Amino acid sequence: MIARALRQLALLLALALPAAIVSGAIQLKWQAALALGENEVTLETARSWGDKIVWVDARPRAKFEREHIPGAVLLNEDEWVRLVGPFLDEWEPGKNIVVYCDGGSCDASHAVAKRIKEELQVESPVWVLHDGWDAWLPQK
Amino acid sequence: MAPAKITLLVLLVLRFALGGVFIYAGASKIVDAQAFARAVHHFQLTPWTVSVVVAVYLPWLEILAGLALFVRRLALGASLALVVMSAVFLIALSTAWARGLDISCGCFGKEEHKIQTHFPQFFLRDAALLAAAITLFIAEIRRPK
Repeated sequence: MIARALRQLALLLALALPAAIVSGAIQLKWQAALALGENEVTLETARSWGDKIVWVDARPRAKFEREHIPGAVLLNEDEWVRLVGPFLDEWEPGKNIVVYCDGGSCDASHAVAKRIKEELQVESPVWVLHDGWDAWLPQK
Repeated sequence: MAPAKITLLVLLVLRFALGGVFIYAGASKIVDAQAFARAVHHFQLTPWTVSVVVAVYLPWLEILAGLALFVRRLALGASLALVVMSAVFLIALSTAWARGLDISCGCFGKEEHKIQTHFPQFFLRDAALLAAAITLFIAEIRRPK
């Protein structure tokens, strides 16, 4: 009986394989073509800027302290007043500012990017990293 | 109604409920495999490449197992697959809770619920799925050939 169950299980596992390969290939191709949102930049483009970049982590402090993009400064809405100073110390004219949050549907990065532009009026382009921290994960 | 008929009816309802849940769960994840890969990765149990493989493969296994519950010659293997998957989901959820991770469950594609806040709810749901799967598996073992 157990042998019969395992045989059937093996058959199901094998049947799922070709379906997964085909759908996986289609998904990867299709999603790579997804358009970027307003003021968004891909990780690839951001990396091509080399040193001319200031990474801004818009996630909560606990997440930043656990892990962040090397060199990133923490600037989130919860601690905006306290964190603005250290952010401005890091920023230099001509550097691109790239803000990120968790990725997916998070919008903290868009909110922080908007405040940097409107309240701090820095003379630098302000971008949001497309897919945020999730885009960085595969690079680790 | 005779007890045997009631048992058959309960098993039929379980089959539809469990099969339906897994087919729906699988289909909702296929829609956005990247989002599901991230949800898997957030559990911090697998490296990124493995998370992607799981995200692409698992939804199809869920759908096939859900459908195979209704195929007499595959129902035994399908119920075993559902027992194993439900148990793995339950273990993954429990370890995420124990480690204090506050992440999206990823159970049904792109949902935004966080495990930490909804943990008891998710735990009960997965435990119910596991119980249903075990019941069906036992029923399949006992069923005459």
